[in-house]
Amino acid sequence: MVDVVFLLLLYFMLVANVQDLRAIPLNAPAATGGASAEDALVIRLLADDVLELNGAPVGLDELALRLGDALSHDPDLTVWVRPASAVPLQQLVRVMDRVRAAGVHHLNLVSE
Amino acid sequence: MRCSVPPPRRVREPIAPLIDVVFLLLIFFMLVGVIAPLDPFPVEPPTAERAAGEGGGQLTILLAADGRLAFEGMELDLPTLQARLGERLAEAEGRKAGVELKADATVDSGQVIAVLNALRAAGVERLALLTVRSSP
Repeated sequence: MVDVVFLLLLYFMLVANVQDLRAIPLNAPAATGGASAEDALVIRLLADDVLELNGAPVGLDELALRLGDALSHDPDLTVWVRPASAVPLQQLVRVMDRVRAAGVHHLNLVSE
Repeated sequence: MRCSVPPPRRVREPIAPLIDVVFLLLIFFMLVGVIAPLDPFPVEPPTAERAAGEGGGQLTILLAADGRLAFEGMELDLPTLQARLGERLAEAEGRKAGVELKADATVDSGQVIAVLNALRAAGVERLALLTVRSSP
């Protein structure tokens, strides 16, 4: 009896997938429709960890501030993230995480 | 003076509390664990601190560090994936099936975007990128 319970326990421990997965939703270009290009923000993510917001280089913390500022004017702001193609996904996700945390709901990815 | 030391009595270890604990552990793992088919290759999703959405949607696509793709436990190439996804989306008509991409943290962004665009071309409307909550 106890043996069986131990075996069950072992089975569930091995089979269970306890990774805490989280999703970052992405908006399809069509779904964000209506937002014209000029009231969208473009964040470029270059290799060697350089960030550009609408062409001007910014740091990660300053980016969050600027986004919060922009959001207070337009809560429906669309943010485009354009990573250079060699940037590893981890780095891209770190930036996207900050953008989401700043309160941006319409986040989109575009290629270079 | 002789001190009579009582001979050590062999006390039987009580087994009932042990069984209780094991049962509790069993229930914990049954509730917490998600029984999913094993991935055909290891994928380490990127970590994120504040990603909001709850992961673990219906359709998950895997993208390995070396660019291999897998869907529903099978490795496949991009055109096959698009065809398979098209079928799944047609089955889930009306329920607005979302698709999640579980990509390895070391994959190039360009490759991720290429896959995302291919998924959109296959008719996926709700896309999300899966991350793992980074341990504090």
